Amino acid sequence: MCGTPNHGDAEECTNCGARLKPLDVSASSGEADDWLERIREEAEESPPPSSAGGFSSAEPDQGSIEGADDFSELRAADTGGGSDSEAESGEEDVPEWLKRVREKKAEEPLDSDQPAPEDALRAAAAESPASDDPAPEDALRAAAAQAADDPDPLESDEPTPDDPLRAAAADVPLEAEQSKAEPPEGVEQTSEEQDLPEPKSEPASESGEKSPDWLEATESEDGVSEADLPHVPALVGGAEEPADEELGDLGLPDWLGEIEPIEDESASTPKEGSPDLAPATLPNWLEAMRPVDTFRSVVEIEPEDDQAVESVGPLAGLSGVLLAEPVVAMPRTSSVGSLELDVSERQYAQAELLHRLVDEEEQEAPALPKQGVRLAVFRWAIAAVVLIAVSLPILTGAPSFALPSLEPRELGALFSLVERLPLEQPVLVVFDYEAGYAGELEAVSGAFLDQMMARGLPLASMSTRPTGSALALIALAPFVDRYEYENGQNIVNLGYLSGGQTAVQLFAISPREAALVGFALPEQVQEVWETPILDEVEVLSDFGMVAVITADSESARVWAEQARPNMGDTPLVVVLSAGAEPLVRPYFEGTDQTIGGILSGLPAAVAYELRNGRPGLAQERWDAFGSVMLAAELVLLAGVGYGLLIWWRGRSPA
Amino acid sequence: MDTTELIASFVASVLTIMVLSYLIGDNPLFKLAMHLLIGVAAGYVGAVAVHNVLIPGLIEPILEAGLPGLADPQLIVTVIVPLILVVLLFLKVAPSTARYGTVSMVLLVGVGAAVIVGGAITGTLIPLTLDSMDTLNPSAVNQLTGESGIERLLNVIIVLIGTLTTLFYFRFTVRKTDVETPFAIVAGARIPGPLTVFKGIGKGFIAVTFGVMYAGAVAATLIVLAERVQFIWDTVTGVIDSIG
Repeated sequence: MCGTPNHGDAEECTNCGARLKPLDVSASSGEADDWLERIREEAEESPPPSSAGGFSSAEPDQGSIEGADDFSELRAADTGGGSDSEAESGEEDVPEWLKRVREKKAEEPLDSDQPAPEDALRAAAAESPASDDPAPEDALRAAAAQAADDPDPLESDEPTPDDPLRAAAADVPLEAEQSKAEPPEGVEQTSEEQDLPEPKSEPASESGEKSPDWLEATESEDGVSEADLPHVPALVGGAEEPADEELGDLGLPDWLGEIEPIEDESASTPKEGSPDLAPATLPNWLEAMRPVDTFRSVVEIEPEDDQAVESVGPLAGLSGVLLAEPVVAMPRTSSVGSLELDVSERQYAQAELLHRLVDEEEQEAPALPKQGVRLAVFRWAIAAVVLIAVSLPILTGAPSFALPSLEPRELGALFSLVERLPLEQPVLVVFDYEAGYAGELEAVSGAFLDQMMARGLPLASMSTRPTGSALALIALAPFVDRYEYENGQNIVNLGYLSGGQTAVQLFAISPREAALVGFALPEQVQEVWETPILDEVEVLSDFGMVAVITADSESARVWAEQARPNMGDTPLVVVLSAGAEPLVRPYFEGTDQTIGGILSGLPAAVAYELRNGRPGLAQERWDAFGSVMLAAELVLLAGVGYGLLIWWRGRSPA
Repeated sequence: MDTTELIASFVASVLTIMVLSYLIGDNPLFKLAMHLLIGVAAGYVGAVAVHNVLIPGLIEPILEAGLPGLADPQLIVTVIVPLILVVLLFLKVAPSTARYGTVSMVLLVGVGAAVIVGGAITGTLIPLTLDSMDTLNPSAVNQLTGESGIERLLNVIIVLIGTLTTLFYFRFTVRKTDVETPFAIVAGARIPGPLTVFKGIGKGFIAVTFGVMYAGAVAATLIVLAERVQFIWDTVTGVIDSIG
């Protein structure tokens, strides 16, 4: 059974121990015939048994059935008791616990009113006639046996070898009555059971006991005999199907009467050679759940001649055993689930929505109507106005705009701050902008750098952007030449600080540990931190001031968040592009003074140059800036007027 | 202006004009200028990274320490471990080995997030919140702007209204349908009421803020345009002077 190859002469599998050669069942059958004949002879000679012990005399020899039905022993032992034949043949072999159980059972009263639910199956087979409350299904079963007209093997008084085992399983003293009852439901009959005649089920009155009250009442009121009582047809060959009229005339429950008989062709025309079986009828809800063509609706029990004898394994020698191949080997359709989806209305709506969205994505968007001519004219016209406005002051020097007489309030604070810086402390200037903003920030920061370098403050520059160091050289170049700064002596470029915000925090905590190697250093300078400017700088607060020139508010915020807590009293100043000022100004106007000075925009830079008294890039570009700003304002006004005109025309009734 | 500077200025001026040619639409000259800008910028950044970061930070310490110095714990922590992380991060270039670079990425993202969040809380959120509360004190004087008296009071009122209405706008930004008000739930209609007024005021503050930012960006751009025109003009006059 396990598939392990074994020697040809081997009787059992070396791996699983399964029997490889079939047992000689012919001898067992012959023995069974012998003991059966003996039993019949003894039964004819002896009076009918009236007690459990009497029935045991009709038991066949235990040894004769050992080889034929080993499972009978197992079943009997499993139900908690042994057969009487066992008790007779080997009373000394019975264990002590079994003896105690039997004694205890024997002491129990026979008129137990309420059997345990778990013993319902046993009670159905061994219902005592002395019971005051017999189960209705047992009564129906008994009535069905009585109603059988044809000579039935059940009418035989000879007990079968298996019946005492069932009686012992029921563990009730009145095995004689129990042996006449049908086997309990669910117990599968073996081929030998079908072959052997079943004992006749006798009515309870014949056993000398009083019939149940409800049964007597039924007989007296309706005048229906026990033979006319409804019964469930036995699932055995030879059982006759009662007529529908018989069932309908009886006092069936209402719910049972409402069930209409379902005509089944297979039931009306039984197959040739197959036993007469009651067709199984399924409720409608169960029929709907049944997968189509996945299993057979009618259980076909093959006749005895067609049933093969098991040849291997622990069931060797038994016939009519259930085959394992249909379960484990034959492919079958899964009976779980259904081929149709159960879609709710909400799910269907969502699916439709998704389907519609996908369809819309696949559709080509209609081409927009071309309006390029008018749009290009407007664009070119605006561009021409702007370019002319910028070029005229540069090319012709006109128009000229007056320099601002007012200055931002924060400019004075910044100017004073730079004026108070100590000359012995270097100033760190961070150039954090890209090349595209160099034209603006060089003009804005020019006056600021001019003031510091005019005072002779040592400067150290650095950047958190790769291009920032080169832009720092370009921005500082005019003032380096003007004020004769010497590279490595009073000005130095620390270079590129890689790492973003994390590097800024690291630089604020310990500038020397930051990987700064300098940029465009003179050849005699080997280490940037060994220059005269930075040799005394250990922490960020050793700088006299930190100035950040940036076009991005994010960069200014990073320095305010990461560096400011480590700067101590060293002020932080930012020089900003005009577009970044609104987002940085709160850091300046707060009472915490995160940013100590702010410079933004060309007007502030011009005012700074005026304070310095030295014209610079801001004043150089002031006229062009003023002209193009005027042009831009005019263009904006023209656009607003055009929009109002369109809006007014849309509101007018015409 | 020497010859080299003159040639560089001329090339820069031509490239500036090529970029400005986008005014007539997307054209090959604009694309060529963009490709040159991106290529030169990438090459320059790569060169800076190698010369300012990789060589002094990783290569030189190993060469200076030699093989015996590789066992130095300080060198292992400051150089070897970062070198391993760099190599793992470099494995991200290939899809088959990209998973090995996850360790480096996790370290970068984790440390970066911690630094950003910590700095934002201690450097922005708490200080600016305290400053907003301090503006409610009319007697306080701004140390930098010198505001006091009526000017300070007006400034405080403006800041207070702007802060509350802006928060109101974001809190009650809902669709027009099914708007829940303290009075009723009205579906499909704009509700006139105090909530709508506050929301409108907040919207106005936000619009003014964005307008100021946009105006600043336009002003910066116009300054750059003026600088470029000035540069082109200086180059043209320089070329004319050099020829003449």
